[in-house]
Amino acid sequence: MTEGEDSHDPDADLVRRVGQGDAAAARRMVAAKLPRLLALGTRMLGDVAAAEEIAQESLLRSWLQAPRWRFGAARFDTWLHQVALNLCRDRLRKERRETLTPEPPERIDPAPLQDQALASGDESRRIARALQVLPQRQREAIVLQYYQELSNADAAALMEISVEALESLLSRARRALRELLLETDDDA
Amino acid sequence: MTPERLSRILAAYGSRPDRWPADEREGAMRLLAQDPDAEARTRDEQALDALLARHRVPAPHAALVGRTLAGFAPASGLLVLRSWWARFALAGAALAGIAAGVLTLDVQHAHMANRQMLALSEDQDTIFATLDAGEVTP
Repeated sequence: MTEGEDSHDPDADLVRRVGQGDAAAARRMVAAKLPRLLALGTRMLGDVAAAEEIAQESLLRSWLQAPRWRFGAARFDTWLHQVALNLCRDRLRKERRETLTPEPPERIDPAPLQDQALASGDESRRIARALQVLPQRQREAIVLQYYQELSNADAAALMEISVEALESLLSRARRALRELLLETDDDA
Repeated sequence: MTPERLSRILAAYGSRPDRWPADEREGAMRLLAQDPDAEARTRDEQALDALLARHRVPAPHAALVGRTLAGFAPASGLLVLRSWWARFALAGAALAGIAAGVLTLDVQHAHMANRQMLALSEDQDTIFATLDAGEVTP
């Protein structure tokens, strides 16, 4: 491994130290990554307790991965997002199986959200609810690109789609969110 | 950069140029400065961006941080092995283990050999007993 191989990954030094068993580095890793993973899980699942489990599990897996991390192959943060995203997908799949409900339809009905918004009056909760109303793939796209601030290439790679397909999902997600949030405001 | 492409960029990535595709950013910004329609469109996207940014998620609480770090504890044991005396002690312990294993094998081997001899003796006793019994049987 050379300096050049690590230079594109801002977490390279931290990962190396975690892999060597450095407890201070582990604390730094938790301080840096746990809030991001918790945010990802919360927005993907709409359930803070479940998001906490996923964030914790992702970092536990990173403790095992760090000693054998192949520097230069991928950015550590992207790998961590992949772990957390897969755990979110597993949980959503399990929830769908348990409730026997099909994948949400592409067409979004804003009516339940308006009721929810009127009842709660809480802007952040309205946005959370709007994110949950989105079809899962649109939600993944907006969470990864907008909230997690991943590059379009990284977000597309995590979703195993092309950048063009990601753009299409993002456009549909933003259009739906505008309808659910801004146009509801205009109507009110 | 065409007005159509700029429109698609705004629709997908929103109003902030730092979120736009890096290789198209400069051309998109240049066109944006010249196109009043695109400017109006950017303001629409700014409104959505501003609203989405107001979504708050909880910060990790102390118990979650503690649980996550507790999972690191086994790995932190590796720290001990980084000192030369710990490596020496570990190597010594390993050698002692190997020696003990060899000794145990020797003892087991001897024990097994004894058991085989004993078994043979028992068989012989049985045979003798049978022969003895046969001899007494009319």
